[in-house]
Amino acid sequence: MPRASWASNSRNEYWIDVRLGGKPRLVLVDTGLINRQGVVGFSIDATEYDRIKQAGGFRGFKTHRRLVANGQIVSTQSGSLDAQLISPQTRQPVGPLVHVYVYRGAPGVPDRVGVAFFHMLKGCKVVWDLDQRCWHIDCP
Amino acid sequence: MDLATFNRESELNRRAYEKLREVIRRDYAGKYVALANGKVIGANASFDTACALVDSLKPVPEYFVVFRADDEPDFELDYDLWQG
Repeated sequence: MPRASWASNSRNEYWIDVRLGGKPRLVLVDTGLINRQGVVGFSIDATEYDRIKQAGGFRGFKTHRRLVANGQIVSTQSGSLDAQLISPQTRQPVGPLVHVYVYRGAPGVPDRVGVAFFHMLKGCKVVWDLDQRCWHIDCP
Repeated sequence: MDLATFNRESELNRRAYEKLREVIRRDYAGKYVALANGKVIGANASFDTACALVDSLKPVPEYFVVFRADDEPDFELDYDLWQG
Protein backbone atom coordinates (compact mmCIF):
# COMPACT_ATOMS: atom_id res chain seq x y z
CA MET A 1 0.00 0.00 0.00
CA PRO A 2 1.67 3.25 -1.09
CA ARG A 3 2.39 5.60 1.80
CA ALA A 4 2.78 9.37 1.63
CA SER A 5 4.46 10.90 4.68
CA TRP A 6 4.92 14.39 6.05
CA ALA A 7 6.83 15.40 9.18
CA SER A 8 5.72 18.25 11.37
CA ASN A 9 7.75 21.46 11.20
CA SER A 10 9.40 23.25 14.11
CA ARG A 11 6.09 24.99 14.90
CA ASN A 12 4.27 21.63 15.26
CA GLU A 13 2.39 22.21 12.00
CA TYR A 14 1.63 19.46 9.50
CA TRP A 15 1.67 20.70 5.90
CA ILE A 16 0.69 18.22 3.21
CA ASP A 17 0.95 18.29 -0.58
CA VAL A 18 -2.21 18.27 -2.64
CA ARG A 19 -3.19 19.03 -6.21
CA LEU A 20 -6.14 21.45 -6.25
CA GLY A 21 -7.70 22.11 -9.62
CA GLY A 22 -4.58 20.70 -11.28
CA LYS A 23 -2.14 22.91 -9.36
CA PRO A 24 0.16 21.62 -6.58
CA ARG A 25 -0.25 23.32 -3.24
CA LEU A 26 0.91 22.95 0.37
CA VAL A 27 -1.95 23.04 2.87
CA LEU A 28 -1.97 23.02 6.67
CA VAL A 29 -3.80 20.14 8.35
CA ASP A 30 -6.59 21.73 10.39
CA THR A 31 -8.97 19.34 12.12
CA GLY A 32 -10.88 22.41 13.34
CA LEU A 33 -12.06 23.05 9.78
CA ILE A 34 -15.36 21.17 9.80
CA ASN A 35 -18.06 21.34 7.16
CA ARG A 36 -21.05 19.42 8.45
CA GLN A 37 -22.34 18.69 4.95
CA GLY A 38 -19.04 16.90 4.36
CA VAL A 39 -18.29 18.56 1.00
CA VAL A 40 -15.94 21.44 1.88
CA GLY A 41 -12.44 20.06 2.37
CA PHE A 42 -10.23 23.14 2.08
CA SER A 43 -9.97 26.84 2.77
CA ILE A 44 -7.69 28.92 0.59
CA ASP A 45 -6.59 32.53 0.57
CA ALA A 46 -9.24 34.86 -0.85
CA THR A 47 -6.90 36.26 -3.51
CA GLU A 48 -6.05 32.82 -4.79
CA TYR A 49 -9.71 31.73 -4.63
CA ASP A 50 -10.69 34.76 -6.71
CA ARG A 51 -7.93 34.01 -9.22
CA ILE A 52 -9.20 30.45 -9.69
CA LYS A 53 -12.77 31.72 -9.97
CA GLN A 54 -11.81 34.35 -12.54
CA ALA A 55 -10.03 31.69 -14.59
CA GLY A 56 -13.14 29.49 -14.60
CA GLY A 57 -11.48 26.87 -12.40
CA PHE A 58 -14.53 26.12 -10.24
CA ARG A 59 -17.40 23.94 -11.44
CA GLY A 60 -20.04 25.07 -8.96
CA PHE A 61 -20.56 27.31 -5.94
CA LYS A 62 -22.58 27.50 -2.75
CA THR A 63 -22.85 29.60 0.41
CA HIS A 64 -22.09 28.64 4.01
CA ARG A 65 -22.07 29.95 7.58
CA ARG A 66 -18.95 29.43 9.70
CA LEU A 67 -18.47 29.78 13.44
CA VAL A 68 -15.00 31.28 13.85
CA ALA A 69 -12.62 31.50 16.80
CA ASN A 70 -13.88 34.85 18.11
CA GLY A 71 -17.42 33.46 18.35
CA GLN A 72 -18.73 35.28 15.28
CA ILE A 73 -20.88 33.58 12.65
CA VAL A 74 -19.61 34.65 9.25
CA SER A 75 -20.88 33.91 5.79
CA THR A 76 -18.66 32.71 2.98
CA GLN A 77 -18.82 31.04 -0.38
CA SER A 78 -17.12 27.95 -1.73
CA GLY A 79 -16.23 26.69 -5.18
CA SER A 80 -15.84 23.08 -6.31
CA LEU A 81 -12.92 21.46 -8.07
CA ASP A 82 -10.94 18.21 -8.14
CA ALA A 83 -8.35 17.42 -5.47
CA GLN A 84 -5.78 14.71 -4.98
CA LEU A 85 -2.89 14.03 -2.62
CA ILE A 86 0.67 14.31 -3.91
CA SER A 87 3.31 12.07 -2.40
CA PRO A 88 6.22 14.22 -1.23
CA GLN A 89 8.45 11.20 -1.72
CA THR A 90 7.64 10.58 -5.41
CA ARG A 91 5.98 13.91 -6.33
CA GLN A 92 3.27 11.82 -7.99
CA PRO A 93 -0.47 11.87 -7.28
CA VAL A 94 -1.57 9.21 -4.80
CA GLY A 95 -4.99 8.11 -3.63
CA PRO A 96 -8.36 8.89 -5.17
CA LEU A 97 -9.20 11.98 -7.19
CA VAL A 98 -12.09 13.61 -5.35
CA HIS A 99 -14.53 16.39 -6.14
CA VAL A 100 -14.49 18.84 -3.27
CA TYR A 101 -15.55 22.35 -2.32
CA VAL A 102 -13.01 24.99 -1.21
CA TYR A 103 -13.91 27.92 1.05
CA ARG A 104 -12.96 31.44 0.10
CA GLY A 105 -10.78 32.10 3.15
CA ALA A 106 -9.73 35.38 4.74
CA PRO A 107 -6.68 37.14 3.25
CA GLY A 108 -3.44 36.18 4.95
CA VAL A 109 -4.79 33.02 6.60
CA PRO A 110 -2.86 29.87 5.61
CA ASP A 111 -4.37 27.49 3.09
CA ARG A 112 -5.83 24.59 5.08
CA VAL A 113 -7.21 21.11 4.64
CA GLY A 114 -10.02 19.92 6.89
CA VAL A 115 -11.77 16.76 7.93
CA ALA A 116 -14.12 16.44 4.94
CA PHE A 117 -11.26 15.93 2.46
CA PHE A 118 -9.81 13.07 4.48
CA HIS A 119 -13.27 11.48 4.79
CA MET A 120 -13.47 11.41 0.98
CA LEU A 121 -10.32 9.30 0.64
CA LYS A 122 -12.07 5.92 0.38
CA GLY A 123 -9.83 2.98 1.20
CA CYS A 124 -7.14 5.22 2.71
CA LYS A 125 -5.91 5.50 6.28
CA VAL A 126 -4.25 8.32 8.16
CA VAL A 127 -1.55 7.12 10.53
CA TRP A 128 -0.36 9.83 12.90
CA ASP A 129 2.96 8.71 14.37
CA LEU A 130 3.17 10.76 17.54
CA ASP A 131 6.70 9.65 18.50
CA GLN A 132 8.12 10.54 15.09
CA ARG A 133 5.68 13.44 14.61
CA CYS A 134 4.79 12.26 11.14
CA TRP A 135 1.45 12.32 9.32
CA HIS A 136 1.24 9.26 7.03
CA ILE A 137 -1.51 8.49 4.55
CA ASP A 138 -1.73 4.90 3.27
CA CYS A 139 -3.68 4.50 0.02
CA PRO A 140 -4.65 1.35 -1.88
CA MET B 1 -25.44 37.11 13.46
CA ASP B 2 -25.95 35.48 16.85
CA LEU B 3 -26.51 31.77 17.32
CA ALA B 4 -30.20 32.10 18.20
CA THR B 5 -30.85 34.04 14.99
CA PHE B 6 -28.86 31.53 12.99
CA ASN B 7 -30.79 28.59 14.43
CA ARG B 8 -34.15 30.24 13.84
CA GLU B 9 -33.42 31.43 10.32
CA SER B 10 -31.70 28.27 9.13
CA GLU B 11 -34.64 26.17 10.34
CA LEU B 12 -37.16 28.49 8.64
CA ASN B 13 -35.30 28.30 5.36
CA ARG B 14 -34.60 24.59 5.65
CA ARG B 15 -38.33 23.87 6.04
CA ALA B 16 -39.15 26.16 3.13
CA TYR B 17 -36.59 24.37 0.99
CA GLU B 18 -37.99 20.95 1.86
CA LYS B 19 -41.41 22.06 0.66
CA LEU B 20 -40.03 23.72 -2.46
CA ARG B 21 -37.28 21.30 -3.43
CA GLU B 22 -39.04 19.64 -6.38
CA VAL B 23 -40.40 22.95 -7.69
CA ILE B 24 -36.93 24.51 -7.44
CA ARG B 25 -35.33 21.61 -9.31
CA ARG B 26 -37.95 21.80 -12.04
CA ASP B 27 -38.38 25.54 -12.45
CA TYR B 28 -34.81 26.70 -11.89
CA ALA B 29 -32.84 23.84 -13.45
CA GLY B 30 -29.32 24.93 -14.33
CA LYS B 31 -29.53 28.12 -12.26
CA TYR B 32 -28.34 29.34 -8.88
CA VAL B 33 -31.24 29.93 -6.49
CA ALA B 34 -31.29 32.47 -3.66
CA LEU B 35 -33.45 31.54 -0.66
CA ALA B 36 -34.09 33.91 2.26
CA ASN B 37 -36.90 34.71 4.70
CA GLY B 38 -38.43 31.32 3.85
CA LYS B 39 -38.90 32.22 0.18
CA VAL B 40 -37.14 31.93 -3.15
CA ILE B 41 -35.81 35.43 -3.78
CA GLY B 42 -34.79 34.71 -7.35
CA ALA B 43 -32.45 32.72 -9.55
CA ASN B 44 -29.75 33.33 -12.11
CA ALA B 45 -27.31 31.37 -14.20
CA SER B 46 -24.49 33.28 -12.46
CA PHE B 47 -23.76 32.54 -8.78
CA ASP B 48 -22.59 36.11 -8.16
CA THR B 49 -25.72 37.58 -9.73
CA ALA B 50 -27.89 35.30 -7.59
CA CYS B 51 -26.00 36.54 -4.49
CA ALA B 52 -26.56 40.12 -5.66
CA LEU B 53 -30.32 39.48 -5.67
CA VAL B 54 -30.07 39.02 -1.90
CA ASP B 55 -27.98 42.19 -1.51
CA SER B 56 -30.66 44.15 -3.37
CA LEU B 57 -33.31 43.39 -0.74
CA LYS B 58 -34.22 46.03 1.83
CA PRO B 59 -33.35 45.19 4.50
CA VAL B 60 -30.70 42.70 3.45
CA PRO B 61 -31.54 39.45 5.24
CA GLU B 62 -29.01 38.28 7.84
CA TYR B 63 -29.44 34.70 6.71
CA PHE B 64 -29.69 33.39 3.15
CA VAL B 65 -28.47 30.49 1.06
CA VAL B 66 -27.47 30.45 -2.60
CA PHE B 67 -27.11 27.08 -4.28
CA ARG B 68 -27.42 25.39 -7.66
CA ALA B 69 -30.95 24.14 -8.21
CA ASP B 70 -29.84 20.51 -8.59
CA ASP B 71 -27.61 20.63 -5.49
CA GLU B 72 -28.44 20.58 -1.77
CA PRO B 73 -28.04 23.92 0.03
CA ASP B 74 -25.93 24.04 3.17
CA PHE B 75 -28.07 25.03 6.18
CA GLU B 76 -25.57 23.84 8.77
CA LEU B 77 -23.18 25.84 10.94
CA ASP B 78 -19.61 24.92 10.08
CA TYR B 79 -16.62 25.30 12.35
CA ASP B 80 -13.54 27.20 11.25
CA LEU B 81 -11.68 27.70 14.48
CA TRP B 82 -8.51 29.12 12.93
CA GLN B 83 -10.21 32.29 11.80
CA GLY B 84 -11.53 35.15 13.86
